[in-house]
Amino acid sequence: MILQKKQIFFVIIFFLIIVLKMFFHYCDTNDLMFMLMPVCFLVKIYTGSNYVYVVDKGFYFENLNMIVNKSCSGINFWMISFFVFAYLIIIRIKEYKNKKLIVLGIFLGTYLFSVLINSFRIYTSVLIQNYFRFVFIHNLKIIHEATGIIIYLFFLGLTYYILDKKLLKDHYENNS
Amino acid sequence: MKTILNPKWLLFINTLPIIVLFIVFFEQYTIIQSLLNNYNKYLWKLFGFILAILGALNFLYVVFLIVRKREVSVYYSFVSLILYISYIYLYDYYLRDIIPLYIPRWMIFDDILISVGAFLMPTLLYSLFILVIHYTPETPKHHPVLNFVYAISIPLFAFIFFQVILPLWKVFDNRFNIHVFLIFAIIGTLFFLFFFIRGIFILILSKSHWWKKHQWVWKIPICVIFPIAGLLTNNLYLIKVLVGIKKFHFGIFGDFNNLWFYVIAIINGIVLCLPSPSNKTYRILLFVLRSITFSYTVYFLLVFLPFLPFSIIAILALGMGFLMLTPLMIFIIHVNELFKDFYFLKSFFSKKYLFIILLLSFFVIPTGITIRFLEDKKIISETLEYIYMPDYSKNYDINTKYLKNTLEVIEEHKGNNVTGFFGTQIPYITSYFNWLVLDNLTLSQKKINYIKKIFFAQKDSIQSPNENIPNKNIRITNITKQSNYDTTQNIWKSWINLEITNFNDSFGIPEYTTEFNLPEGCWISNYYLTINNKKQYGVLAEKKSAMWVYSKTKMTRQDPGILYYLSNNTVALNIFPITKNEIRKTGIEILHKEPVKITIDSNIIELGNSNLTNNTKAIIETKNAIYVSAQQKKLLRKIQRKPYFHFMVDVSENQKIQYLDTLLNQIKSIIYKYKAITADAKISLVNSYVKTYSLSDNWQKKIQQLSYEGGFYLDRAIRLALLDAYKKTSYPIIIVVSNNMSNAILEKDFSDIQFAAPEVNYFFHLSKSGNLIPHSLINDPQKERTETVQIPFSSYVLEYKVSSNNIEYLSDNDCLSIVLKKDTFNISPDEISEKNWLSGLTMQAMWRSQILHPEISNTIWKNLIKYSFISKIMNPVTSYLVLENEAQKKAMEKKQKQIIAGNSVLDPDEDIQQMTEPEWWFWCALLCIIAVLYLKKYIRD
Repeated sequence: MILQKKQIFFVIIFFLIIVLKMFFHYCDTNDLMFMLMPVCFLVKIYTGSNYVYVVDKGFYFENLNMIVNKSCSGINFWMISFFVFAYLIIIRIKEYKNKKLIVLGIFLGTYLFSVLINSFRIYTSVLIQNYFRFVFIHNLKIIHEATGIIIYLFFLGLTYYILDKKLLKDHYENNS
Repeated sequence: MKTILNPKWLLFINTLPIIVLFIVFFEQYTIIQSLLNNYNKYLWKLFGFILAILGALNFLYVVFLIVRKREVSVYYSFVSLILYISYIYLYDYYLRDIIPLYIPRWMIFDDILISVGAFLMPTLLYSLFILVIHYTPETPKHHPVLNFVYAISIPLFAFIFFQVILPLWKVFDNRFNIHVFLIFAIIGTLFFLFFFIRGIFILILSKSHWWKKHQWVWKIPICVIFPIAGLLTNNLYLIKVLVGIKKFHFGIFGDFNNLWFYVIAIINGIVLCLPSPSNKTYRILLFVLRSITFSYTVYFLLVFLPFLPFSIIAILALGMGFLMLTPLMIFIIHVNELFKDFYFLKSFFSKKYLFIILLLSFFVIPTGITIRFLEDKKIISETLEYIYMPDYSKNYDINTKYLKNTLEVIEEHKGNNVTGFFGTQIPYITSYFNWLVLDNLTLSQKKINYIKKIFFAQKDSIQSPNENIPNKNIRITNITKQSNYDTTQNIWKSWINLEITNFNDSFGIPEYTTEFNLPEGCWISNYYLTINNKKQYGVLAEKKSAMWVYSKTKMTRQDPGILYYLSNNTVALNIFPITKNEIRKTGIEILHKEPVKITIDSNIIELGNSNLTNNTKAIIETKNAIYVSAQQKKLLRKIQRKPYFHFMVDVSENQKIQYLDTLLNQIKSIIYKYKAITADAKISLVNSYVKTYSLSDNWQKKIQQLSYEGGFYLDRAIRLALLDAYKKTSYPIIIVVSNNMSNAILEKDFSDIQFAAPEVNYFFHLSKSGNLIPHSLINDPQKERTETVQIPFSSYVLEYKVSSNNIEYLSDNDCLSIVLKKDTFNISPDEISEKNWLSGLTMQAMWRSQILHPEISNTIWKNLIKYSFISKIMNPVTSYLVLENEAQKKAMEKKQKQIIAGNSVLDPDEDIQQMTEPEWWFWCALLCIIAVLYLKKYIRD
């Protein structure tokens, strides 16, 4: 019975991911303000550089000569982290008193998580490209992507580990 | 020593160098690919593919060993030696097809020709180490001397072979001989290095042997005497002493003349020779010292690694070649000593703690070098800021002692740009210095000399030639023009088409150079040059990079043309080459508001038609600038501003004190003579800095108190005086007080800031005889003028009120003027549009703004480049350049990126960095990993 209930949640998670992916496919930079604005705000705090929003192009950081647009929104990371954490939490929790709230909480929590990590990724890319631009002068994209891979994997793994081994395990043991 | 068999080493020794090699070659390929033919491209791809396969196989093998927790096999050494040596050999064999000789040298990265060997050498050496370890079991039967005898016998045999056998051997063709020779050379070198390394291994690992008891016998020569002898040999010390050129800094493998190389070599030798007793405190201290000098040992191993295969040849040719092997010998000894210390200390301290000590100590020398370089960067940045982008409100006090050292270091590192044989650069350290201190750019000798003139009163030894001397035999033979009125912008778009012919009979291929004045309010928006009867349009580029590429392409006799601002409104046009009787066609597009006349090589060209336009009386305003036409200026009120004397007294190192009293008396006589205008007079005491006082202050006492040092930086003093008159009700009459005007440091003319004090066209030099000798501010200020010039006591200017408290004074002439509404302002890229005259005006206003406030010139410079690219209008920081081929353009783009990245990360608008997330494959891979992990967990649970 419990498994059936869980399956419903997995369907909801899957449905939400599909919706997000569809939305991402058809949207443009202007539609992604809810993702980009907080990310740029955090990058502004880290770097002390101001930005201007250029319609259809994205957030332009003049001092850094950098533009944050659809390709850097972090929505893919949101989807993955939502999938991972939602799955993890749902299979670990026995009681389902506030089940809708849990899914909503994970959805919002992973949104904040992806905004935070994405802003950190952009900041790190800026720092790294300054140090390695003499090697990768034509291929700064490599730096950005490699930084993205390392940071996303690291934080996803770390958060998963903490959540799995500490919080949820305690919760699971307390309940059982 | 068995730790060496850990497969993780291969990640640093093989995988990392191959990745770097790939990146370097990819960069190189993108630049020269358009010059390569299909066969060349095929070879590039083939060698790239093979290297990728080799690298991938190696990586997979490492992963396999790590997963299986195994050590590197001896078979790996055999396979990698065969494969990588074959690869290097074949690469070298096809090198002339991979990088053909016709590719200009300046397009090829430094050291790319030897980089394949250099990057793959660590793998070869590592394979040799494995072989040595495998074939040297820890039994006492091996004898080090025997191994050294084997090693030495190889070059000896080779010597006899080349002297006796080879001259008799004429069986096969020459090509075959070369192959045989190369194959034998490779095998011989391998065996030589094998026995040599094996000998060292046995020496250091022997336990109960005589060698262990008498370590000092071999350690002192290897660790102390050989390095010093090696350094002296490399630096050709004896030859330099004999020839008397001791002060010249160069060496066979690089410049290791710095005293620190010798000092650290001795310290390193001593710490390696010191006994290792069982005292904990003493041993940890020794471990720290050995870890500190380990970076020195590693550095020399890296320097000599690419040359290792040549050591056998060096032994044959010079006898001293064995010194090339010293870094390798010391490296093995050093690693062994560190291992021994580590294992001893392991019983007292945790492994982690010891690793941290090792790591921190290792970085002591690199950190020291970095701190020193950062100090150099600070002092040179401060100096360049003071000279080229000063904040006039700031007091500068540059430490000249430190500056002198820094300039010496920069000059040492500049050298002749040779890192290999007989180079004046320090391998790797010079590259690091150039990257850290100079952002991979360079400080030209001209600028270094200029700094020395300002701070150390150094005289010019060689006058740099003017590169823009027109060739009288190359003349414009035909001019056509076409002006179209653009009704949307109400401006003229005019093309000037020139045909230039070379009537020169002399030897060589000359260049056409000319300079012309572009009237105020005219902007260049396009440029073309015919190359092989095809009209090639110019590309806009940052000026320094464009001039760099132009000079390089000129050297390789290709067809470039360049157009750029020399100063203020003077534009230079250079075309190369124009062969005998050849006609080259070129054209310039100009945007202008009013009909104008432009003079090129004494040809007056009228552009536009005054009958067709009626906007000459209009005042055109943008958000930040106002354009006042000549007609409009006639309606402005004429006024006279109040003149005052501004004396500029030379208090530099070169000023002779005995003349000063005479000159001061002359000042007094001038004050007496022109009493009426001396009430507000000022006096500036000028050396490296400018200190200005009111004449009513006790200036004579201040002169007596000053120490006479530095150069006579008159340029700064005049600039400050002129800018001080901007928007003020008074203007200066500049009197320079010096016993010798050749002391004066004047970089260029002052036409760019003439708008600040339009009344002042001349300054006067007060000679010892009391005469006032005029010098032009607009044209060649250093030169004495022979014409009679009246002191401008009653000049008129035109008053233009921007607002009630913002009045600008314009020159009273028939030329139009540009007025700034505010001194500093920000422009957004949205305000700039393509081929828009107002965008040109905005950029001109920005340029003027940085003249008033040089402290913001770095930011404005980058913005001007960006806006020039957007608007396609040339400005003082960009240049129109026509290049012959795609490779030249690529090389220029690379240089441009390097130059623009010089001070900060901001690049031109076209290359804004997107902070792109990982590609789709990453997400797919991540999903798969997660799915597998879940599945495993699910099965386990």
